[in-house]
Amino acid sequence: MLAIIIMTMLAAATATVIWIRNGAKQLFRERGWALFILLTGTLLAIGLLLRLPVPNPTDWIMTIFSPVYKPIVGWVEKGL
Amino acid sequence: MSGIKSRMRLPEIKKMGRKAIFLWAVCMLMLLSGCWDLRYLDKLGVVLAMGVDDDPSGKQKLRLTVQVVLPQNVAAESKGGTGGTPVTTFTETGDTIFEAIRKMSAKTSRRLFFSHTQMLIIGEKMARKGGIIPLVDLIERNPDIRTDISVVVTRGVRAERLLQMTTQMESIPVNQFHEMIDVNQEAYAMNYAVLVKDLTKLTGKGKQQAVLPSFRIVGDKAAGKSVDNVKTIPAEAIPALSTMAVFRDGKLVDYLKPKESRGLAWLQNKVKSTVIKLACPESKGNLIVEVHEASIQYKIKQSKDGMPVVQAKLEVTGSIQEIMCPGIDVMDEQVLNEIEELTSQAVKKEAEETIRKMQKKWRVDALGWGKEVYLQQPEVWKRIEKDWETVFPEVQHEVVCKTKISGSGVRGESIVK
Amino acid sequence: MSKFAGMNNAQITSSQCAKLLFLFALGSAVLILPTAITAIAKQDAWLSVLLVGPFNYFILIVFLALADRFPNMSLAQYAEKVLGVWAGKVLTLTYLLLFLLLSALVLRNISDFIGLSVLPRTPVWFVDVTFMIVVIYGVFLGIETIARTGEILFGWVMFVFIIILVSLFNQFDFHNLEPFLYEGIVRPLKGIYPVLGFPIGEFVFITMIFPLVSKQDRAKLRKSLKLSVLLLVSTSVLLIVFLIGVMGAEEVSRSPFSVYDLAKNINIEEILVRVEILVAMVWVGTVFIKLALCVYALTVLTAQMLKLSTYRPLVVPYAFVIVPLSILAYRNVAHAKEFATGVWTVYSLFQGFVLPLLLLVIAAITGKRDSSDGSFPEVKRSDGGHTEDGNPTEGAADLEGKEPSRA
Repeated sequence: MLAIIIMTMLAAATATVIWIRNGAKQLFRERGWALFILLTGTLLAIGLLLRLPVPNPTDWIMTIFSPVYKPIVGWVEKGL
Repeated sequence: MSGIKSRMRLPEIKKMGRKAIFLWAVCMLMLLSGCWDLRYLDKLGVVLAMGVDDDPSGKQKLRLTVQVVLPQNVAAESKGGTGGTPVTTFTETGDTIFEAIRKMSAKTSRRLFFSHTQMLIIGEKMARKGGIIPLVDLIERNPDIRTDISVVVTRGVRAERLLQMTTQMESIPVNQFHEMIDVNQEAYAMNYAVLVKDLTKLTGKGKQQAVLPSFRIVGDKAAGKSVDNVKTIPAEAIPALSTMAVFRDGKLVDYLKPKESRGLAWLQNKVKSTVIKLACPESKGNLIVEVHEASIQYKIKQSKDGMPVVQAKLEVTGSIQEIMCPGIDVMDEQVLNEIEELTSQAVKKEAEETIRKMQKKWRVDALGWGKEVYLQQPEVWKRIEKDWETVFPEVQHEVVCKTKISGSGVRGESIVK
Repeated sequence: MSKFAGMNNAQITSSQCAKLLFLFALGSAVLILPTAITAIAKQDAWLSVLLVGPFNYFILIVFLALADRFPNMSLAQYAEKVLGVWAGKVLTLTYLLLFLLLSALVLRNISDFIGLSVLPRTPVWFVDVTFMIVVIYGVFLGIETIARTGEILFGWVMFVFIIILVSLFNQFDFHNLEPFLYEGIVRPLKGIYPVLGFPIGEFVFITMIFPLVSKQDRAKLRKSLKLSVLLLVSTSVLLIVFLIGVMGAEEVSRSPFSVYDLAKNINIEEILVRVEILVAMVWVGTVFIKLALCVYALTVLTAQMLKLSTYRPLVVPYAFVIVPLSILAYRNVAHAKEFATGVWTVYSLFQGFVLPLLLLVIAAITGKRDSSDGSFPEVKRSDGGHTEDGNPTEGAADLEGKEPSRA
């Protein structure tokens, strides 16, 4: 619980800093995207801290490429 | 954002920056005060040696003893004071070593610290029953314990008892044990050090069996626990090296005889220096050849039916260092050649005795021949690998020894005429 | 420092580029690769590393060809040129995922190592965050700084490497490398598989760096890269030869951090002992460079894809994503092994070789070449928008959000 609070505070602090530093009109887009990525990261971290089942990109890669890599790895590891 | 505007904000930024850094430093202080891997030196119990025995009550698998240094007593001793013993031991039972280590925390006031452990001593009964290979897994796996520690086995005494001996020459008993093996290898070559690293290498190709040096206690076994042991000349009980012990699949089979133990050292290329006693050719008495260098080279050939034939070539360099019989004229080259012949015979005999014991009596390949076949004749090894236990006792061998006697010490003719 | 400092008009020399390549490849490859290769090829593992040598340069040729066609643009930008805006953006998105995952995995590697051997009681996130703080700072300062740090580290790495080799000379047992080709040539060939994954498939990062090599140095780039690859291959082969020679193939395939274990063996007359931590320090340095380059590629790629005017605000947010991702990515050691030595080769080769090759082929067929500038917009200059040789100031047009005109 404490970890989540500290982390959210840290994220909020970073968000504030980004907001302030990129206040000029030309930098709105940068600010927007930066805050979006920050939000994703914070959500990911909170999800991990609360031990929610967060989807794992490595699993995505493994399923996408399984028809290619499984036979190759099978051949490489054969006879080991 | 043009340059002028940014220049105007600079002093503001500097002030804000300083405040931010100060705030950050204060936060860091909170985190640093509890550095997780902090270990204070006087809260560590430095373990110098571990001893593993079987559990006599039979309830658990093993009984672990650790020898922990007591630094306050080591200092007192060096001032010739009447301090207590420089080390102490703690014992605990368990089914595995790690369990026993952690259970021992019930008896120690400091966390046990294993980075300075120098030796693993395995009790004789443990070596016979339980085997030594599983004991070594913790040492490999744990990042604290180093894998270049020596492993020894005891003979006729429990490891616990051996770790409780006080020693005269070195105040820390483990140092004495440790150095004894090296000293013996350099003086008589009846034992040589075997490290955990060497044991783990044995599990690779080649199916080599383990050998370990062994320790026993000479003297009054009951004495030796207190400092009084070392107050007499000689001490009442001292630890002494016995011969090498041979294992099969990690379980102790038997101890070699002294000459065979040295034969093993010849065959494993572990002789640093030793003395060979020869009977004088023409009279009663003995002479001694001191070996300065010894090396062995294996060549594996194939016999007609595809079996490996081991040819061991020993090369020994030595000098005559003691003559206790008359009639030896060391200035005569003929005599020197004769003595070279005799030395070669003696060494060959020792090596062959060991080989015979390994092959016929115990059927254990502790000589590393499997590995040599694997290295030199891989095709042959592929065929016989799975039957190596049955093939090894029948492997033909040939031991050839060449000696070179370079001199005879700092005297020419002997006074013994 | 202005907001845009350290990013535009960053110029690195070709030798810096080459050294960055060397350190990148050495980074985590040296940490975990020998174990994987030796598990497959046993004592002939050095042969695998030797055989894979030419592939190092072969892949670079593809990137160099692409860089010849689009000398001032990075992968994201010329992907759009070749495939059209939307397909290009989709492609760039896949590269985003690659670099994001790569950064998380590299961070995971180093924090695993530190967590297991050096600081076992310290929580994982603390090591991660400490590392990322340094990386963030490095990326903030820009590629020039990273390149200069790389140069210094290069010297250190070579120094420590030579010390390791020299001090282990007396423990080197040639017999550990025998018998040669015990099971034929197939084993070493199989051993190539992990190496193709990392570092070779990951070399695609260099497409982000090529446009930053200063113009005068472009001519020397090929030569510097050739030298770098040569040095890389010889270092890796020597390292594996020594690993197997000193420790034996069995032990190398069993210990996850084999180079660290190798350094533990250094023992010169009981005086020079226990120096493995120095090796670990240098190691941490090379991994830092690899991580910094990955994060740099990630943020610059994002900024270019989204047509932002600067990449700097994105760095810290990405760090917030990378740290949890690195903890999430591997569930346990077994999962890590299966991913790193199984899938990763296919994935990184796909992204790092197949896709760029496709781009090159399509660009060659459609005859696209573009030397316009892809660097981030410059602050409004007083020279009225034109440099001395009559070309428009780099990216001056970009402030309005338009694409840079053909030069």
